Amino acid sequence: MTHLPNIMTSDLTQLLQQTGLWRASHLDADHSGGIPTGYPQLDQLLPGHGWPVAGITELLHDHAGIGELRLLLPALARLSHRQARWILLVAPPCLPYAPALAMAGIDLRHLLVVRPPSPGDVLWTMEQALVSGSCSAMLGWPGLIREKQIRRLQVASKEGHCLGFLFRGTAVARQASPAELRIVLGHQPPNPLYEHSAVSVQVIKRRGGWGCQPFTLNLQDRLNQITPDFSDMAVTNPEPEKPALGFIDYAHSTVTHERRLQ
Amino acid sequence: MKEDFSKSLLSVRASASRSLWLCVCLPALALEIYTRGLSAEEKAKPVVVLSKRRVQSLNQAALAAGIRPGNNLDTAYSLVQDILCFDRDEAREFAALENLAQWAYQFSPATAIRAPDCLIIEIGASLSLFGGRDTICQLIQTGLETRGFSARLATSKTPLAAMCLAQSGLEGHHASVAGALAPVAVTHLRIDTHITESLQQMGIETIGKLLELPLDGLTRRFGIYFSDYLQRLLGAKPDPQKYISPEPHFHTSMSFMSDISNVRGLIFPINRLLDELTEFLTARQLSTNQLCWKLLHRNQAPVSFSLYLARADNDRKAFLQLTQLKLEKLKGIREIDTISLTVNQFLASNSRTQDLFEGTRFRQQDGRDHETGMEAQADRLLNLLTNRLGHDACFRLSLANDHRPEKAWRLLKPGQTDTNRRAPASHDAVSNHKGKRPADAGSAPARPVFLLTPPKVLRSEGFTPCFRGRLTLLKGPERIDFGWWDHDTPLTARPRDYYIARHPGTGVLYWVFHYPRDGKWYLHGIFS
Repeated sequence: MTHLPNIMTSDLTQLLQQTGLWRASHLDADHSGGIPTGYPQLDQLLPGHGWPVAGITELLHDHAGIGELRLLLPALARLSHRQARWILLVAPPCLPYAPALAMAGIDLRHLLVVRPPSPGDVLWTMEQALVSGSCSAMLGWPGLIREKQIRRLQVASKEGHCLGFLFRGTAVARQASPAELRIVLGHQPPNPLYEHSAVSVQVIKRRGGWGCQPFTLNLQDRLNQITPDFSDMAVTNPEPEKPALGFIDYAHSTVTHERRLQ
Repeated sequence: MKEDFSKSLLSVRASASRSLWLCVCLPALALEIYTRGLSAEEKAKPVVVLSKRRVQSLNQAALAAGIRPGNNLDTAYSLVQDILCFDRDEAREFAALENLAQWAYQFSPATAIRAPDCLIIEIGASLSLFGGRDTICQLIQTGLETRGFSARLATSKTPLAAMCLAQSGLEGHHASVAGALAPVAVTHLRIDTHITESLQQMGIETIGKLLELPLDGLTRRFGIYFSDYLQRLLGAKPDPQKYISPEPHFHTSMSFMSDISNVRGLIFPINRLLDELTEFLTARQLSTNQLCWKLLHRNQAPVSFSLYLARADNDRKAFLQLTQLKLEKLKGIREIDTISLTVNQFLASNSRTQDLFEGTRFRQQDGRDHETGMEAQADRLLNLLTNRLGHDACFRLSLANDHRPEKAWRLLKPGQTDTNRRAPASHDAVSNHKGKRPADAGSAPARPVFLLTPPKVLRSEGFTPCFRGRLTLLKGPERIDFGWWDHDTPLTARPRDYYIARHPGTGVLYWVFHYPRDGKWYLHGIFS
């Protein structure tokens, strides 16, 4: 640091203008364009302004349902329409629900769900899918997985040009991992002013940069509504009998209070 | 008055004089059905095939050791100790011959089997396609060699003459049939042995000499069948053949000299059988999606396994890869002495267009990435997964035309195609990533990404559902009616009120419902 004043400022700017110089602040300097996440806030933080084109991304979260898949849906929808390759869900914890995926814009023709019978087969399936070159994305719920195994998956993913996502618990956040990108997802108390639900995102590992502080990411799901008071709808209240066909219209028009920010 | 028999034939030329018959004679067929699966060093051992405990056919090593056809087994053992003996299996010989006839069908549709060891192929019409007689002979010869059969080929203008020439191994380049047959010994004629013997007693050793005799004399002496045979031999009478019809049935097998206990040792024979299969498929423009392998041992129960492909294929590499996968999973195989491959299901192959830029990635004008050869690769992965993990482990999802959550989707098995075309229009999703909201996002009620089947019963406190603590209801109710038209069970035949609920501690969003006028809550989905 003491040497810095000795260098003439003009020299420094000249040096900076030279193309061969890499600066850590230019995250995407040598990363080819990533796949847009659909969340500009997150894109800014990621090298290549999006999910890495190939490589393993770890999403660490403790509770299934926190928003881990909603975070990926825009990118998956984009991939399913741009590439005629599979999107593979390996060993998902529950049954993926087709209408929700279709609603998110995913082309279901390219979605394949695999439920391997044993844990060993889960790893095999993930590796085969990544290396085959016929998958655009692989989402895996591996359960327990060792660092060495992640390294294999990372290599396979690079070879097959496939996006790999692993869902793991936050307990492993402190362990080293060869994954390309590691993100911790946490609970974010809802802001009543937003119509979308939110999740706390912390990038703990990325290529060409340091991790970042947790920040709030608003998902595009319109799932955060003002809670109406249901106390008067106690069970004891008898519901008036209605003709069967009237029910659906009734359902749509009821309690959808929305307060938009704009 | 006495007209020379052969000259009389020249005047009665058959109309089908352009036809050219090729005879494939497999003199060592009885032996080769056993030895074709052997390695070179095993072939160097003396091998004999016995018929009624006498040596019927033998290989070079056995011949060199002094064993001769007709020796009995004891003589053979006294000459060489280390000898491999097989009993002659005529049914298997014929099966092999049929198999070869099916293979030869690629050269000409006019292919006939002449038991015990000959195939007759009319190649006159195929000459210009394959580039001449010699090329076809070359192709057949090498094709048979790779299958482990040695053959003698001969062509002639009549099928019987071609057979005589092939059996004798002499092929004179004579313009006339009679000229070519002249030096062939009468023993190579396919006639009763007592006729051959009496001909030899008469001092007639070659066909040339036989043809010099007057026909009516021969008829009187040996009967009408013999003279008919001679006339067919020389083309004076038509000789219709019974052609094989190309059956779409494939079965081939290979035996090993020594028992194989290591599964890896099977790769070589498997490769070879698959080669035969792909050639069979290519010749008929067929593809298959089901292969059945059988591993046999004389002392043990046979083990068989089948491969199922998502889409019918005729790619040897894919077959091999999947077979290896299945083999790795097989357990409890101790010894194998024969392996067989059977295919019964065939589909017309719709050949994939081979792209000049195979495997290159393009960006199309509409922004979509296009990679050639992608579909083939996608199928390969699907085949791999279904064969290792089982048919039920992989599935696709599709929408169904129903508003009830349980019935709004369908499970598609790998080979199944989606009949419901309710997929969202592609421009919707493309506009989605550009930041615009899909048209229906505002109106359609939200659905969870994960569905619980069946719904889980929740504890409730008052009107609040509890799942690892009290849940906060966010949005709802959305009433979903039951399907009275579907005769739902009484338990589910009630309308439901769905809510979106949040777990305050973790922020997880759940999809819960309750039946109106019933306090019980159910968890039906997770907004992952």
